Amino acid sequence: MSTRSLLPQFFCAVERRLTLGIAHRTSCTKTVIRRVSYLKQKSVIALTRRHLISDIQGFIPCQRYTTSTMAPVIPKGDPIQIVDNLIKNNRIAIFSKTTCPFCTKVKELFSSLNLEVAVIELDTRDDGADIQDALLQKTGQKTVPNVFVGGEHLGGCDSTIAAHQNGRLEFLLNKSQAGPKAEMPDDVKYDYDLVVIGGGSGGLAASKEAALLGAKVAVCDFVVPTPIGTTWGLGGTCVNVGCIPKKLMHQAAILGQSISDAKKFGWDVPDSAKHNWHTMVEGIQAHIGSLNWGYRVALREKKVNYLNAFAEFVDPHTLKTTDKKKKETTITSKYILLATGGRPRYPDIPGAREYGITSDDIFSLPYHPGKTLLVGASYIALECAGFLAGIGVDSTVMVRSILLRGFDQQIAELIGSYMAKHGIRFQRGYVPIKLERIEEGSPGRIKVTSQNEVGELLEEEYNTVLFAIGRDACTNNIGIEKANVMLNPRNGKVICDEKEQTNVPHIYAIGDILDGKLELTPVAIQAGRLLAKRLFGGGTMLTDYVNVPTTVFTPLEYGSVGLSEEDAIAKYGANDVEVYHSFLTPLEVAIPKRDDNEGYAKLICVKSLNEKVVGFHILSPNAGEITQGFAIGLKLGATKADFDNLIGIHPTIAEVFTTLNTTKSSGADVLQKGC
Amino acid sequence: MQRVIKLNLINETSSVFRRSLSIGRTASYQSFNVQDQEDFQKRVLNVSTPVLVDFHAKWCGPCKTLGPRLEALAAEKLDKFHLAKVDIDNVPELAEEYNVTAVPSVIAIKGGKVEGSFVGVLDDDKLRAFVNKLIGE
Ligand SMILES: Cc1cc2nc3c(=O)[nH]c(=O)nc-3n(C[C@H](O)[C@H](O)[C@H](O)COP(=O)(O)OP(=O)(O)OC[C@H]3O[C@@H](n4cnc5c(N)ncnc54)[C@H](O)[C@@H]3O)c2cc1C
Repeated sequence: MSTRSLLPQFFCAVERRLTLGIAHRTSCTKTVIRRVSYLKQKSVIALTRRHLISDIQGFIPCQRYTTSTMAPVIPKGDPIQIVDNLIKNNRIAIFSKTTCPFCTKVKELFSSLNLEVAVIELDTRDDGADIQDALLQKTGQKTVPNVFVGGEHLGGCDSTIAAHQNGRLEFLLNKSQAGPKAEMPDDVKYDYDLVVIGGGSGGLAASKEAALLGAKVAVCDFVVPTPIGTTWGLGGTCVNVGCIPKKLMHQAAILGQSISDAKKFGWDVPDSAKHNWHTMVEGIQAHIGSLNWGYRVALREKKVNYLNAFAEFVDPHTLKTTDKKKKETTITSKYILLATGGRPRYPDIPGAREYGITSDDIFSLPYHPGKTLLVGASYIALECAGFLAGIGVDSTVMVRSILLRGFDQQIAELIGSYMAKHGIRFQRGYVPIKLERIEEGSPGRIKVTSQNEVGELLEEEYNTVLFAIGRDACTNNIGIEKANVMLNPRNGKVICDEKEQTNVPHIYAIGDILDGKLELTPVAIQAGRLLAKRLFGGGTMLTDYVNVPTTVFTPLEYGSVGLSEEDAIAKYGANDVEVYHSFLTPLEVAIPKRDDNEGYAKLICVKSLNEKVVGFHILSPNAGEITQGFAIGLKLGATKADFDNLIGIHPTIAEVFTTLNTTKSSGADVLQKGC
Repeated sequence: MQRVIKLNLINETSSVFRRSLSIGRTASYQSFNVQDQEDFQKRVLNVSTPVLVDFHAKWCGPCKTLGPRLEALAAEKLDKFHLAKVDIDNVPELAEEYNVTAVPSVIAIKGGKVEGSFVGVLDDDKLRAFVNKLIGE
């Protein structure tokens, strides 16, 4: 290490490059790793300090200073610049504090990997607090360590360790090493500019946009039938076996509730009003059929070549497509977009695939499901249980541990108790271990044996068993290894950068298969459209995966945007988080006199950020409709005062957010009382 | 041309010949589901009799109104035209070839050439006029 390179380090006295292991290139072919101990390094600094005094005289503070072997060491100045420069000029940048054990842990991780890191110790410089504020602005993260790799924000200690385990760290390091992306050779002729694998939410959006911008595009979409043979048309999960039929069945259930409420409002509704499964399924499937056709026509009109065939890699630019009749074709493309989505997972227990079904089957089930067991605590399990119970199906949910992992847990439990009150049975702490068919039929009879943690067995008969224990990314059968695309080994999802670009520069991925991102249709669509614009229309906008609103369509809907209470506390610390909340009773249920105080609203605010609202949560009818509009408030950085200043629309449920004045920390009663 | 004397409900995959009783004598008309492009070539493009092609879908409500009315007209006009029914989900290639974007869509073909077309449900008079023009009545 040259003495010159240490100069600014000494001068500013605070930035310090932690050289935990330096790879020195001694020749073109040989790389020697020299490990420098922490102690030894300190003495090097001490030593050089003395030698440098004379040099310092000529040094102008606040000047950018770079050398080939060193990170640019940024003197005091604009804290945002300081942050940006450290990130921009170093493969690995860490904002740390000398006293923080998590910072030490992160540094040790990189040290164990023999990786060179650039560190700013915030507690050793007087503008440390300003830099921390700048970091908060940039990343929404206030705590240290705050780690960046290859220019991308990784997060704190836990996220860095997780990134190491799930392959993301390796991905970012490789990417930053590769330097600027190699341009595609222009002289190679491909069949297409872009081939999209998967005609779902993301794939269709991307292919149409790309074609509109003049690219020659093909989209391959092929549905592998479920174990019981269910299959469907163009459009992917959302249209055929997801959002659309789910919301329509949810509507069927809501109508059931309305019919019984109607009597109290004076309607002469016969008690014999019954639900007909076949009529509902036929109506829903007819609507889906028309949507499938609409997508086909749209592709045709936009001149996207639609290949109803299964695609797999032959090499990084070549795909083999196999259609229904097993006819194989080979196509090549300059860019390839992976948008293959996910499929429901089956547990590895006897009888699961033979006798069980999933969300892929339920929406077109040709017979009434009868007494149904739903296995899983995912939003899909709870939504299905909700609409089934709502149309009169005997429904039981079997859950290993918590409900709705990843969602706000207070609300998850409120959803569970509401569902339990409305006739859905919960078997918590159990997992199925065996399914046996007792009787064939439509539906047949299935005996389910399940077990809890202490080994107690439970046996019960059902007509239908629906697994909703998670979804697997469709990346294991598309020859992805032939294209060398990196996957997270833990979940098979594709690792990408913020441009949805994989480690192979001409291969991109969007939608449900994207590692660490949200599995939602509008997210996939946005990513697809913006990616196409960047590839073919000179666009620069990236998909913003933060503050994405979402709704769980359980009988009482749950809408949210931003952080759960748990995540807010983890990010900002319990002392810095204030929660305003209230239970609520929609006016509509006042006359039927049901569901008193079953609804709930809360805003999660960060005290030190002027009570900026970082989490919005509502459990109520039509929560989806309520949440969509408020989400823009959070995106624009609304504070609690902004919510207070907003005038409500009366009488609505949503107006509750303009008058939330009880904090959770006060412990005051928030049940609405009286007539 | 095949003549069918008995009420003959052959399965949907082959030609369906039905006896028309409307004019008080035993007669036949031809109405069939198109299986694929080859079938279309053989039974629609390569015949001299005019053919009405009814592009329809299972999920399409208006198709369920128009279908039976076309069927009734075919039965009435006997062999003056044939009715070819194309389920666009089963034979999407044909829908594409004839640029069908909405259903029901009906095209009239004579000697392999498109003579006319309409989209949606026509009222009886217009429908009759359309058919009459095709068969030259
Ligand atoms: C029950 C359920 C309810 C849901 N509800 C909602 C909701 O309310 N709101 C919401 O936003 N999201 C919801 N989702 C999630 C939403 O459906 C997905 O996020 C979305 O469909 C993802 O889009 P995608 O483009 O990534 O993949 P998909 O839509 O899954 O499309 C992928 C397509 O690629 C095809 N394919 C896969 N491999 C190949 C191959 N090798 N060759 C050719 N084709 C291939 C697949 O068959 C599929 O058609 C729900 C999902 C489920 C299961």
